[in-house]
Amino acid sequence: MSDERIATLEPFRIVNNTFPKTKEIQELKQEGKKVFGWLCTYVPEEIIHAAGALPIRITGCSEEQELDDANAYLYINNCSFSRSCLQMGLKGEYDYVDGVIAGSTCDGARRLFDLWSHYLRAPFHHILTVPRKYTERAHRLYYEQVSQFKTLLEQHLGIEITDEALVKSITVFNESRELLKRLYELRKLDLPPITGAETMEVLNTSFRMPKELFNHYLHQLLDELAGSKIAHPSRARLMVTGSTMNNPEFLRSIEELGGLVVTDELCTSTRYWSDPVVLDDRPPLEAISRRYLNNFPCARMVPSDERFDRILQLAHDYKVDGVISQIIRYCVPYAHDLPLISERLKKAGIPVLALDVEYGTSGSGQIRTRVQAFLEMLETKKK
Amino acid sequence: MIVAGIDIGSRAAKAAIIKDGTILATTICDTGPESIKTAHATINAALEGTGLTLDDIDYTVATGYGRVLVPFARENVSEISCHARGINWYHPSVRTILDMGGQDCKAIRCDAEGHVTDFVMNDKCAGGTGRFLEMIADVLNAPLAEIGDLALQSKETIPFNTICAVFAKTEAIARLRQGVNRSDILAGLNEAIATRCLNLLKRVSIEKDFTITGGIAKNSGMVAKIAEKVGLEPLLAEDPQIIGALGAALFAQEKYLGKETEEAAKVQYGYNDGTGDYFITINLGSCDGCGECVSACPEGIFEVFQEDGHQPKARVTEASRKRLSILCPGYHSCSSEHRTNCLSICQQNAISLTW
Repeated sequence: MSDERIATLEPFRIVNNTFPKTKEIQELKQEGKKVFGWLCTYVPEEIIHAAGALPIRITGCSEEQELDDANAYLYINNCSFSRSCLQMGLKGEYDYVDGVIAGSTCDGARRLFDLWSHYLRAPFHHILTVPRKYTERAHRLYYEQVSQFKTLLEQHLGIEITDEALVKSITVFNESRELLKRLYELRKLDLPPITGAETMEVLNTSFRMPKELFNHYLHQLLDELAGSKIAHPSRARLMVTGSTMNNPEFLRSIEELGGLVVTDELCTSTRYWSDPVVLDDRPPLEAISRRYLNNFPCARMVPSDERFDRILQLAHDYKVDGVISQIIRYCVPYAHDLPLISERLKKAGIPVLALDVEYGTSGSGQIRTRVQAFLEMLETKKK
Repeated sequence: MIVAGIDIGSRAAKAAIIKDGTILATTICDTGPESIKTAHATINAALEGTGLTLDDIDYTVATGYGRVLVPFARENVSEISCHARGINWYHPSVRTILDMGGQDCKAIRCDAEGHVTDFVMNDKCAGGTGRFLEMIADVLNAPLAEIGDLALQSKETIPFNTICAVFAKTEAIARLRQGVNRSDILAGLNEAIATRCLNLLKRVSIEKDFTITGGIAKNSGMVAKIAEKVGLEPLLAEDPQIIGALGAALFAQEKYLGKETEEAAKVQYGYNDGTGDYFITINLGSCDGCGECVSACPEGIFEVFQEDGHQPKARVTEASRKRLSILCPGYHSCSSEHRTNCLSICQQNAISLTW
């Protein structure tokens, strides 16, 4: 791994180091802007943005932390992601949010939402029912949910969210998706100019600051990378899949051993930006609703083939040598799918390393041993 | 050629020295609190009586959980790869390995060359590992080296519901108070551990031949239980505990030989003209003469040649050799203008550029 620094990564790092209480968010709050926290990628951010508010993603602490308070409130089989988020909430890290919006996607997210609304009591709480299928009936149900969310938000704020505002928000968010796509294109190169850990730092800021400013920073980064001579050779090109994860240190520990993470299937990364909202001739709210349900799916969605096909396509496009699946304990949807996707990947000649992790885990000794052995195995296979 | 492998495990440190393809010495020491001291003590113990010193060793590879802290090692390789390579020395027919170490347990699948094809490892829990057996030996007041044979004397296996180190200890003490035979308690614990190992092995699927490595493979009672559960008689090495260190020594041998031949097989073309180095290196050892680089290079720098009785190989054309810096803009500029170039097209990674 080369030590060359990308200068334009600095603004992203400042945001991540100070989140949740970043300077930008504090200033916006003082100006009277509302800030709404969301918990799951099935919450349509454009609606919050179009209401003139700032959507931010509620995440846990990017390192393993003491979860004393959260352990006292949450039942034993709740995942460490929901624990970590609740712990931060209980500590007052998100005390400025004007509302919390969740999707009823998995038990971890639902129980987290329940406790948040019960104990932390933000001024606005809402959870969207999210169907598990992609049928037309499912789309109708989800559209009703999205539409209801919009109405509730309008009533709460005493405003009207116009179609015009929605279209504007769609444009901003689509631009962001397009820019992130360009960033990922660079990772397809034989010698990518950016590591997996660095990419994750960028992605973390994508939901921690105003989108317009994020897009501006990302433009700067892409400009620098276009003229950059940085090139990362590697022992093996890797893809990371599995539970929600936004800890660059975890990826860094893999990359320190000589692997290079070139793509992923994470709801904090690829699954966050992959599909744009397509307006065509649809009303904007319907276009948003369609995009969120049809987006690169979470493991909770059925049939799973859509997700499996996309993973295999990514593995092909990014010339992946091996896949590292990291699954948080009690993350049932991903744990349940693992044997099925592993079988498909192995059939395609791509070995899978399955790691059991906790949210915020970085490279412990046991994980390093496994990753090193996996890289050695991939190298031998390539010879 | 003298090479060494050193395996700093959580409970024991092992070393193996290979001279010209034969095992010269092996040793097993206790792992102390300081990895660096342990590493020196272990290699010195192995060197004792061989008439050699550390300086005589051409190449050392370290493995085990303390592998990054061996000051005289040139490289480190994971213990998973080392066990597969090590057992291949004794039993090349082995395809499934159960490595039972001081603090973890691994199931490994490998091929005829001793290359790992799949593996799984137990999680954070130390139940059923060497440390666990040490604790049980302590509770039963029996020397660690004897608990294997003691378990074999069991007439009635006592079922244990847990292999959690804490609960199993409590349960063992309770059984002792009831007057249960020590051998029956041990047989019960071995059975519980063997069941857990079987689950681990099933996750990589078991294929003949099967072996057990690591310190616990010296425990006859445990080996017997595992053999019974798996339904296969393990093909054991002479000393299963040194397999990791032996594997590391074999990696050291391969890497030492590889470095010698690789350097000999490299051909360099180019010059230094005062503005920088302009060298193209082709590794003839890995070049398969496919000729893709010939068509990929927009300046036609490469050609394929063939000497009588040899494989075709790539080389830089006579005419280009003195004009490299003019013809080739360098890897980065070239790859930004062209989708493919000599480096990206070469499947064997045989070509390298200095600019």
